[in-house]
Amino acid sequence: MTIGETDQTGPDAPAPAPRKRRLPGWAWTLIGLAAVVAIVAALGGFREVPIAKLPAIALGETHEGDEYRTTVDAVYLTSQLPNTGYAAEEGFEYLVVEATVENTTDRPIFTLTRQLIRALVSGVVEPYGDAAAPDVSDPRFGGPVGYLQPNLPLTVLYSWDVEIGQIKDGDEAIIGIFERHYDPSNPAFDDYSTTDAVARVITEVGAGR
Amino acid sequence: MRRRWGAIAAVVALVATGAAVASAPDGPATIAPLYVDGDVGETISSRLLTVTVHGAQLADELVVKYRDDAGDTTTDGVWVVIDATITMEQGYIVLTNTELRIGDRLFRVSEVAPSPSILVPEESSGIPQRGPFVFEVPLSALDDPAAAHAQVLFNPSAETRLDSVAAITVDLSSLATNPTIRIDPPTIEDH
Repeated sequence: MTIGETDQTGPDAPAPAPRKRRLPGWAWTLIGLAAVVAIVAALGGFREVPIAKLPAIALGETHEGDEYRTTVDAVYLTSQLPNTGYAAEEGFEYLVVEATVENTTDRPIFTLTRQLIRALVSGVVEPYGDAAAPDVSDPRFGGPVGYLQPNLPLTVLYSWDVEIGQIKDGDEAIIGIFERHYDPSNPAFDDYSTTDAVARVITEVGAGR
Repeated sequence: MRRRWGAIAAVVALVATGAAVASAPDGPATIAPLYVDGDVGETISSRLLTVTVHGAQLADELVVKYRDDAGDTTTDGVWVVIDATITMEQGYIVLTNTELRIGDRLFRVSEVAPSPSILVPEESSGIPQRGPFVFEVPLSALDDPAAAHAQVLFNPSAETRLDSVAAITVDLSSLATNPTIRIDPPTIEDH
């Protein structure tokens, strides 16, 4: 001990000041989370978000899209597509969605890159997956539809192979109408973006024939 | 005096630069196809193709007698049938990318005519082949004033950027529509 220093260890020494208790790290984490939740709530982030219902249109009703004017005319089963010259394989038949489509742009559109129509029927024909990819044919000459010319409505047949008995007349059929839409902010698809279904037709197999 | 001339020269240079920038082609135009224009009866050569358009006709229905599986060849619009002779200049090309331009609208050549078709030439390069190029267009396209100077674009492939393309002008506005037109397979042209 040097001169001038006091001895604080003796019996008269003052009691040591109580050590300040610090909040543990997990508490700070909780506080941070609570703050974030409070801010999100204040900004309305937890309000119920209204989900836009997919417009439902009737069989025979025309849907006006960005690029197509589409009318689903009929949904039916058949053993032979018109003018193709080919019958379905043994044990199979075709589920056909007959639609009238018009390209409303001023350029021809290659149909095979546009899955315009998809079908969900009895869980057999699913809207996604390679196995459900339909053939698209022109009933006039049975060949595939190459390009849809601008402003020229065309009846086209979307067809899927299904096992006989899997789908019956009267089964509910949900036909989705899909198309891409203009989205200049999306660089991934040139000046367009892909899209989910834009409308649905709820009908039954055998309708429209 | 010298300073005044300098100022005038600077202004002239500025205006000239502005005019040059303003008149320079924009992005898409810098890579556009190089169209070689021609008229009916004129022989036009592009890098890969020499073309002569002999005439155009309109029809409600096509008659295809060389194949019995042609199916129904009627249309809700009208068939535009372009009679043309083509000669491939270098190697083999298909002509399924041929287009008809009427005003702002583009129509793709129809593959309604069954094989053998002029769209998929059977002869080698250097041999002139004559056949029909068929387009399916709505009736409204013929009401367009631009139908008087429609253009057939003989695109040698889907990729025509900075490539030469024969563009033949045809007048579709004054043509009567035939009930039917017979479509025949392509033939080899004698010189």
